[in-house]
Amino acid sequence: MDFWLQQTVNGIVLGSVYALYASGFGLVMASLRIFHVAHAAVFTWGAVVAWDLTTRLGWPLVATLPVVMLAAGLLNVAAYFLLIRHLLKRQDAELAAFISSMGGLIILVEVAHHLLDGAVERMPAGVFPVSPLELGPVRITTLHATMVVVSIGLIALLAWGMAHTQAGREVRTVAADRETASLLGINVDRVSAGVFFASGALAGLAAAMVATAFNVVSADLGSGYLVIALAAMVVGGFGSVAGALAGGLLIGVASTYATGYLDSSYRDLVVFALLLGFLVVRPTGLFHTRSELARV
Amino acid sequence: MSMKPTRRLSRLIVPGAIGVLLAATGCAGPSAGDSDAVQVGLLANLSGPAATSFGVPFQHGFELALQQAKAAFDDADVKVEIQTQDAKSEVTSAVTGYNKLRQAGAPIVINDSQSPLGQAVAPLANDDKIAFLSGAGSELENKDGFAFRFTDLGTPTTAMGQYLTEHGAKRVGVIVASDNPSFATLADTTEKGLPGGFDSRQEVASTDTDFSAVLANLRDDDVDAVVLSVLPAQAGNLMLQMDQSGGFDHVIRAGTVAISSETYTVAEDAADDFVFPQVWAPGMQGGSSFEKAYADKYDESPTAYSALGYQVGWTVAAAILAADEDGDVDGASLRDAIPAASTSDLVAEHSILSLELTKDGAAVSEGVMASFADDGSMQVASN
Repeated sequence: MDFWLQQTVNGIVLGSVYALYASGFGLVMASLRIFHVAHAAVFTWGAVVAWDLTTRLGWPLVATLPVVMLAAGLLNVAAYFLLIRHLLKRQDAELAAFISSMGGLIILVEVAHHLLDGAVERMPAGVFPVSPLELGPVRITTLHATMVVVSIGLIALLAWGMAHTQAGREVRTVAADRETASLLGINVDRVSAGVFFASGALAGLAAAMVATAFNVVSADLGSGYLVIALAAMVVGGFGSVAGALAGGLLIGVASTYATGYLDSSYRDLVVFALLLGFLVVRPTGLFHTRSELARV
Repeated sequence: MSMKPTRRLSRLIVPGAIGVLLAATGCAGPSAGDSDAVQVGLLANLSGPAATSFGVPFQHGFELALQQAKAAFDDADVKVEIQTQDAKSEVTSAVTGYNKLRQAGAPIVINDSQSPLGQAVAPLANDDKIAFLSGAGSELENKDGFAFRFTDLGTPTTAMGQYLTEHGAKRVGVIVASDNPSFATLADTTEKGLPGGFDSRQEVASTDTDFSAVLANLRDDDVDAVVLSVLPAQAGNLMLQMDQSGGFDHVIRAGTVAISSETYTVAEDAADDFVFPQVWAPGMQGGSSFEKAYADKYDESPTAYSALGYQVGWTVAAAILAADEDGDVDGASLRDAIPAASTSDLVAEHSILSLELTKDGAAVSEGVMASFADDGSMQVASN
């Protein structure tokens, strides 16, 4: 029982990061119906900015987070204007935007490769006060606990904002029909840019926490999490913020159970069996809603 | 009929553009260098994950040895040039680099590390009759005896198992990067030195960064020693996460011959009391002049892989001189000369570690138990 509890907590820690990554990815997917793979590069750059600020300027992690979120958000907005926006009026907009975003991913990752000189960098020691906590039979570090609280808190805030604020209503209206939203007086570009900003900021935050907790900053960091985020979105339900959280946590826990009870070599097998199982049995994911409009 | 200007222009532009593209993509072929010189191919991992720990220090040690051997080459009127290609820690780049070295006419190619790279290049070298010296931990295809491994994982790694037993470890666990055959081999070899084998075996991928699940498994298995058979940086990350998660205060942490200074760079204080076998460590008998020359040339302390590069460099130099004395220096003559060269008087005179290359392509090396000093440099471990 103690072992099960420990592995469940480990899975929730991992899953909370997946959820944060997936919720930003899913937000863009739901509002513009495009597969914005350059999100992975924005994640990578979030980690690179966090590493740069903590290493070169000696900032503590907490001070870097707002800057990282701002930088990653702006990078994603730039990706929207440079890679996506001009393609949205095409008949094959989804495919064209996917290819364009793929190009952006490759360019941004290559630039990161050059900046890091192909190396895997590490966050400096002491950027966050990490110490073990014992909660009954369960061990968790202060950093892991912070990751869970911050991730779940932000996703809950995002879900609330989508449902109860004017900005959230505008995002949902644009997601339903860009032209109608425009006729209703909504500045569609501003709303889309806002979605990309929020999505990028969440990716940046997730990346900074991953870089610190797992002690890794590399150009391929975001790409490694991309498929997992996709699996979390499928399991949770495309475009549902609550679904991204549930999907991320479920994937994280399943992945950790696979390592804990079987062997880490079964981890991907278990995760992708779960993904395929959902696609076959419940393709709409855990959080199926009646209208796509409400899913955002 | 007069040619249109645009057509004339395209006749100039197209070949020019093709030339530029070929040059830009590296298809122009390597420089053949001095045609009289023996071209020594160094296929080093100068970028990618294996660069810091293996490729770059190996290259430094190797080049230092060949530079020091110049007097011996001059005496024998032999010219030697090193042709270097970056294997980039990837199989495809290693194969491309090898092909460029073959085109440059290298009768011998040396690759610092990484079994998958050695396993990809060895069959090509056998077919091309090029002597191939590899730092691969796993077996290589060795048709006609052209492939040699200069890493003896067995002797020093088995010694780690014995070390743990002598230090009272009763339940020993291992974390192994099972996607890399070298680390699986290292784990299996360590196990041979343990009377009861491993009590807990945790497999990870070389790219894994979150180890909370495997650390929970090890705590649950109540081990009192853990062997980290993973890449150097990953070993550092594991020790850091062991310290952060807690529960490993009284657990002996041990490594394999693959550990390098990169482990300390990642783990820093978490690597205190970490012990690992190495083919060489600073402070070993007979190494002081090498350490000084290396520090003077590169402004840094040598690592085990620098020492290995140096020892292999002298072995290659001795093999070239022996082959030259017997006639032509080609792949076959070097293949025949390498085993005796590894224990020749010339190598013994400059030797800093025990390394014998056998005719069947294996290596015999005793090694030493090492640890990290307070400044992160390696030292011979105290008992």
